[in-house]
Amino acid sequence: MGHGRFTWRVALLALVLVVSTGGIVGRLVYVQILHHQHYWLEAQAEHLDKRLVHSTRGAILDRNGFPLATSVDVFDVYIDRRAWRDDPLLAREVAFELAPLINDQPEPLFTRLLNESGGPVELIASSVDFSAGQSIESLRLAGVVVAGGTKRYYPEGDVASNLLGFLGRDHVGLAGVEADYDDVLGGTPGAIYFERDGGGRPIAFGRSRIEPGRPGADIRLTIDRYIQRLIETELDFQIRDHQASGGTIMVMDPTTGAILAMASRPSFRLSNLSLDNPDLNLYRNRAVTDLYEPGSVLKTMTMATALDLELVNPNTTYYDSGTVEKGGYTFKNWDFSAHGTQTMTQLLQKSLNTGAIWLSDQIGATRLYESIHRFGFGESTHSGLGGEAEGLMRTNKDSGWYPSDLATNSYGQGIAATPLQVITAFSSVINGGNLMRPYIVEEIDGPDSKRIFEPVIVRRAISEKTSATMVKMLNDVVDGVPAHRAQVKGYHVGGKTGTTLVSIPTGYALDSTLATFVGFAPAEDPAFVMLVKIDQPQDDPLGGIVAAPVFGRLAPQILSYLNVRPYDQPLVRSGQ
Amino acid sequence: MISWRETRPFDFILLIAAIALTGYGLLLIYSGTLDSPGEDGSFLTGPVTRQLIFAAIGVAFALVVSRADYRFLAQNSGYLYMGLISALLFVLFLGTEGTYGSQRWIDIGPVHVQPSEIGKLIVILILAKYLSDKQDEIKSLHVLFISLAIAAVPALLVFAEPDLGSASIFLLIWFGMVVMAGADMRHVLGMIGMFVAAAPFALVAIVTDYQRERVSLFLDPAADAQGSGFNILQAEISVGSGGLFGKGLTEGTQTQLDYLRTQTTDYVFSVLGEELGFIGAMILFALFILLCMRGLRAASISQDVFGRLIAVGVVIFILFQAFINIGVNIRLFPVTGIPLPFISQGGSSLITVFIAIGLLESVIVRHRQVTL
Repeated sequence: MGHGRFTWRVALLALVLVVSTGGIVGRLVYVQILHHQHYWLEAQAEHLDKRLVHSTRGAILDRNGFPLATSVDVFDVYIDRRAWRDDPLLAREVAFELAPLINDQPEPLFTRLLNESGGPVELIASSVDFSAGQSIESLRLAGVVVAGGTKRYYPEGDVASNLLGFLGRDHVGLAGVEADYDDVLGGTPGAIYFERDGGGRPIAFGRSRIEPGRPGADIRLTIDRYIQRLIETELDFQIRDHQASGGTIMVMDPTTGAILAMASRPSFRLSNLSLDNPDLNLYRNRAVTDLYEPGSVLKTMTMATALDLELVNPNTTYYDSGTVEKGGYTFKNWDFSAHGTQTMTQLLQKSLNTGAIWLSDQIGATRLYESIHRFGFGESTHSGLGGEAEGLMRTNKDSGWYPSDLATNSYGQGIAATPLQVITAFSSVINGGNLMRPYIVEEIDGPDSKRIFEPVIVRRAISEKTSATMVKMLNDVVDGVPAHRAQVKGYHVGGKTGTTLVSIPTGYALDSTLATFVGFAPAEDPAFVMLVKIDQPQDDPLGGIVAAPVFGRLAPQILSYLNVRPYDQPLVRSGQ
Repeated sequence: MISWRETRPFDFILLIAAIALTGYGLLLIYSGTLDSPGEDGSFLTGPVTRQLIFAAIGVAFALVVSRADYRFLAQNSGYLYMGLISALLFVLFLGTEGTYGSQRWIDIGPVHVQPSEIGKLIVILILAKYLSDKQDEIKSLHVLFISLAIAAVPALLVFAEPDLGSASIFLLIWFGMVVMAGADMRHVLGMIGMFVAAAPFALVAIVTDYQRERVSLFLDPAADAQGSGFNILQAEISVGSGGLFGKGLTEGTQTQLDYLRTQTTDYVFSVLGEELGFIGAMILFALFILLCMRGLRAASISQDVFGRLIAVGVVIFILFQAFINIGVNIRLFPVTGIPLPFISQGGSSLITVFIAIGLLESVIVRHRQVTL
């Protein structure tokens, strides 16, 4: 072995040293620098077991601040089974200490503690009341973690149930306002971290920690709990009295679009809610989700359109021969009679279909449909309530439209809308002509911010002058007709009835109707507008008989509650 | 024990690098055993203190060996080799059942001795002796085969313990040393070719199930993430999660929460990777490279073939052990159970590497006095 040859062999060994070191450094660069984030997250995931805990949910208040839905402080009890994985005796001890505090029996609880099918960490008892939760916390039981939770409570009972909605077991709103504003009410969840070591042993106190979330915001609604209770009682009464299948009553402030009360049937009871066997049909807020044909109530909009275009005035007359031919069809009045020469006011009072068709001829299809669109039909009102339907209307611009459709549309047939759209459109007729955006939330009061909602004008539907004329005419429709059932002693009121056949897939169900009335009071300065819809009354089909009296009974109570004074000249005449 | 011919200075840099590595290891053992102090809870009987005592013994051995003439060892390497074979046979039939079902230890009083560790040095010595004696016929095949046999006997005995990792270290030492000694490269390459060709058959025929499992787990540890693949995955996660600067000594969650197993022996590098990060690993490499370069310096200044071969043998021994151990930690190699020189907890390994340092010093100190 010559010295020179040896030298290159030593150099070779040095090269091996350099190459092997280079290989390891390369791998370390890959693992520790390039993919550090990946391994870091894996390390986190291994030793941290995280459970989200719900923050205190915000309350839902009525417009005066009375709670409709609120949360009370309770405790949720979690177990970490790794604490007794090798020690069943410890589990037994825990079961016997814990059982009386969570209303359980020691033996079944012991079995549950050992049953690993739910994973190592499980919520073992929720909504434990405050004092029991404090006791559990003070026991400092191995593998037992107590976290603050909330329980939903509805102080007003079943009032406004399908407006408020409800929560699922996971504290997420499943329907109504609880669902629509879930992110606002729910806040940001907190978390409990259960740290664990490689042997699966739980880590002693100090390593597990609770990270509080942000509590949810309170929501103050435009709903008035007093008016809400009134209309629900009345709605239930009227449905029973006429063996109706359901119905809707809504009360709105016409100048702002604020919804003061809203109820529909069928519905569900918050006090008797079954999450196991939900009847989904009961949970929707039918006042915004369900479409119906507004019927004669829509003559109000047809009339307002003609007035706005200055084609007619209240005293303009037309001749009612009892029938009208349009596109090969013969249209008749609802009472199948001819009334001769009639004024526009009489047209509305007697709700003459031939009159509405005559008006639509004066206006023309394009202008009438444009106007109906301005009243908000065929578009969402953007009230913020979930599941809102947009409505259906075929115009002369759409295929499949026939001239006869204009005739039926003029008196509210062949057009579908939600009760919310109808009451909103009606409000614009009497509030000076502005279509308002209906709203249900007055204020969101968060932990560090407060949002107050202002009324929003969507657009002008008709002129102020037309609106004033319409108020006068609609007042004549009620107060100018002897013994109209919507009349209110001491107040001038206005309104319009509607009676429609229920749409069924094959046409119309001739033996069932929707009886509706939309009215307002007082006529001098409307404080509210109310929509009453009774579905399929069995004894009498007419809106004037079934729906108008509901207004007649509710209006005086609401007016006195709202401190609206009666007009100076009493309606009561001597001798009556 | 002929020490009067010393003229050249002792290589302090080499010894300091070795002691620095040991100190680095003590830090990691300290962090890795925070939750398991001594038997009665005292630090004095704890793993750090034990390792410190082994280090002191190791340094003492290194100083003694450095003052001894390595040529004295050459004369006695045959006896040492016979002693090694006896000890390995003793381990195989009468040894202590160690962890994971293998027999690697001899109990001498309270101390477990692992003869395969010091055996690596003995094989280096006897190979150095044999290959230096046969310099004239170094290119012949029979020298190659006899030298292989010298390494293969202890390798097979260690393999039977079973300890595949140490067995392969014996063969790597042989390989490195015959190349260094000047063997015909065609023969050496031909031999490597035969090894490579035989490897698949060896895997099927000779290698036990547990070794096969280790290889398959190396390829896909996630297949048994909660079982046997656990350690492999955890080591990789530990190192990766450490990042550039690490989580700080005693702050590594994988280490401190017991995700990492055998964290002071096989996986001590993962503790380093997690807690001191990439930078900490670079410091370790710098120390190892310094140490190996001082070893190669010893080889190149040595005037006799025997001394040269001892020096390269020691460098190969330390380099390959470190490379394989770290490679296991970062999933470049299957699990072998080879300790990280100077760093891993364990007396046999630590004392062995210090004796190896002593041998290097002995070679350095006497490089002038050679008379051929």
